[in-house]
Amino acid sequence: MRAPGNVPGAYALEQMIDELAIRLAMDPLALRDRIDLSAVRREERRVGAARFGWSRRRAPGSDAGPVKRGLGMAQSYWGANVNTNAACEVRILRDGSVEILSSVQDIGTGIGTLLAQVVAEEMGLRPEEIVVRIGDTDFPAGPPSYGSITTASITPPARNAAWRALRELFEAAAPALGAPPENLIAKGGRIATADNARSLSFREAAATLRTDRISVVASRADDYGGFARKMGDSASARNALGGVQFAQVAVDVETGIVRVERVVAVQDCGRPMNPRQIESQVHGGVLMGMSYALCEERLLDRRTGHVLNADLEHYKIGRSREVPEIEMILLENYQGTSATDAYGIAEPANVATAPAIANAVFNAIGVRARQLPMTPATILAALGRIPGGRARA
Amino acid sequence: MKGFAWTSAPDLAAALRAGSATVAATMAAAPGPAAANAVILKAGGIDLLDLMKEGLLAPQRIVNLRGIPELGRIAEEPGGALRIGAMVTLAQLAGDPLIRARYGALAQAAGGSASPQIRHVATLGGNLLQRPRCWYFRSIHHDCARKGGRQCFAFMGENQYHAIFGQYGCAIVHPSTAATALVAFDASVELVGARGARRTVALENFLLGPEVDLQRENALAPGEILTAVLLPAPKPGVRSFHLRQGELDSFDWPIADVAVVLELGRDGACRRAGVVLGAAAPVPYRARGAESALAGQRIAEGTARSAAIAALAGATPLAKNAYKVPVFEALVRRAILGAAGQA
Ligand SMILES: Cc1cc2nc3c(=O)[nH]c(=O)nc-3n(C[C@H](O)[C@H](O)[C@H](O)COP(=O)(O)OP(=O)(O)OC[C@H]3O[C@@H](n4cnc5c(N)ncnc54)[C@H](O)[C@@H]3O)c2cc1C
Ligand code: SF4
Repeated sequence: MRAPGNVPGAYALEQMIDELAIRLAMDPLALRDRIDLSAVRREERRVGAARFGWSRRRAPGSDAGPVKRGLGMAQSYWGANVNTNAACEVRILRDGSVEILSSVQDIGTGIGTLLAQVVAEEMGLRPEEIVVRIGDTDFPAGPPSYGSITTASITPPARNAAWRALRELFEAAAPALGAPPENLIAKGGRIATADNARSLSFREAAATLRTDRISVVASRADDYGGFARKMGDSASARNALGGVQFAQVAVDVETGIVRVERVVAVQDCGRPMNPRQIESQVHGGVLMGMSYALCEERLLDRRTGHVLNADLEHYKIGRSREVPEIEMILLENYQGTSATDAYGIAEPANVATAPAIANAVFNAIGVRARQLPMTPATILAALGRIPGGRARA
Repeated sequence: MKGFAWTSAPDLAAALRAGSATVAATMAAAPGPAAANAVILKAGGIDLLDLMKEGLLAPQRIVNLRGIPELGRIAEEPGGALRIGAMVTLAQLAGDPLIRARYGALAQAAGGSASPQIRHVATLGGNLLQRPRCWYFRSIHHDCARKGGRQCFAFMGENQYHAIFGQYGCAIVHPSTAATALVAFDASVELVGARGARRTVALENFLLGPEVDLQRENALAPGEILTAVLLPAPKPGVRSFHLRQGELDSFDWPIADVAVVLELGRDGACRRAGVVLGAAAPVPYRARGAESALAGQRIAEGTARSAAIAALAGATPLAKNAYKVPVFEALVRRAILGAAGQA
């Protein structure tokens, strides 16, 4: 379970919209074009439907055998959130090394890579030349790693600190290059005059420093044009994120087993900074959404109050054989609202998956699972195939 | 996990000399981590280590059987019977050409169990003797009837993975998937006692339901070692099939599994059928109704369907596991058709 609040909320809301479309005899995409004000999601529906092959969708129960296939879609809701208590220090040392320091933590999402990318881009260096030091509270405040806020919060100050540190380097190196500092550029590992007539390697330029280092601390400024909301350190950008997902499922009506065969996830996160890492986040979001839909459930014994499945044997999450084919389409949504223009991707990619699967299940078998997870017990009960008719649903 | 002494037995005699206790008797005598001071045998160690980590068992000494060469062989006996050493792994069973050709359902059952990692370590002997997975049984907070307590928590609690047949005071399902196929093939187990006495018991009689004994799942005696599983020579015209269904296809337990062994005559009619349900009852459940429904019949969709309904007749599901009934009906029908080559 992840993306607290929004995943269960979307599971209900997105199935209701699907149901409404069926009542109105409208295509669920067409209904959303009428009622959803987001221009981002409108475009995401369009490109997603084309890639997914939405037009192949048939009426429920179209397959003759026990295994019924179905297609469904759902949309994501998640704010473009920022934590303003986010800062980093960028250092240029006299030996030519460059460091970025922040107490931000990398819990596996790769924020360290992004910080190196941003600083390297600004300084005309390669990311592997940047020393990234994070996860230590001795360094300037970093944002917490939750709410899909990390990249949006910490990469703009990284760029700003790097930019200012570089100005100081230009000041120091200007006499040696015989040009005013504002005429210098950093490119390809060199500090050069704008006309490229004279240059020093980055290391040579750093050697002109009077002391051992340049050190600049920058913190997260407000978005250009301000935030939509701000409370303490937490802020929401003016534009929310979109996200539209399409799912194909196969449901065995005799065993109640649901398998997700394919997911097309159309996502946006402002300016994408590292498509590989974004794809990995989208895979994670889809897999967690699928597990939430099909198998995750905390079981509490009602009489003794103990959790019965506090282990990965019985608290089930999708495993290797359950992984569907996942295709990501990344909608680049430039808004020019911060120094990196980057917003979150992780939870936004998690919200739409479960309702997309549920809508696909309905399209497959013509009944709706109103309960989670969609285990054989849930599905067989929804189909009215359990003797005695009870059990769960 | 507490410390323990370690013996790696070089041969069967050394293992017998160690004087092991059964896990069931040790746990029943002193439930919880107090179940100490016993000498316990180890095969792959998957279940043994789980019990230790769960705080249910703290052996004083562990005797490792994995180093005994004679227990690790698969050999054809004169007359065509097959002898499978107790230390043969599930992965070996799944890959063995002879087993795949003659006892296909066993290869399928072993090959579909757990995960590749587990199958490469888990042994057939350990698999048959592992303790049940009921979450109340595995919890130190629940002193349930199988551990010597007074009540079964599953009857009034979370019983979605429990038995739909034969819950006499305890509703576990037998955890071994291989056992489902072995019972369908009328397999026996060979046991050697502390003083070297050898006995052979039909697996179906070796495994005990709660109506016979609530605190142990089999008739292993203290000091005894399971040395081999014996499969009778296949009769002409025998075809078999095993199907399992888990909520997940990887690293999960079955919610239902079915082994079907059909003896088909030249005329295509079924002379004799074995239909056994796993994850259905405290022991592998022989569906006699289905077996007699198939006897003398030609196998077709209709016969398979009526046999499946007969197999589930008399099921007594609990509050949360009635969904297993239709799942089993589908699996029985499909396994019968699979065995007959009509899937
Ligand atoms: C996630 C997960 C999924 C699983 N899914 C399945 C599944 O689908 N189907 C299935 O069948 N199993 C499944 N298992 C269980 C696994 O297959 C068993 O734990 C394993 O087979 C036990 O074999 P072992 O050799 O490791 O036994 P051990 O743990 O070494 O021994 C088990 C018990 O038998 C005793 N013992 C072992 N060998 C002998 C012997 N020769 N003589 C006398 N006593 C002996 C030991 O003292 C111990 O009490 C799963 C396990 C996990 C963790
Ligand atoms: S089913 Fe058996 S093992 Fe589980 S709680 Fe009941 S008595 Fe204990």
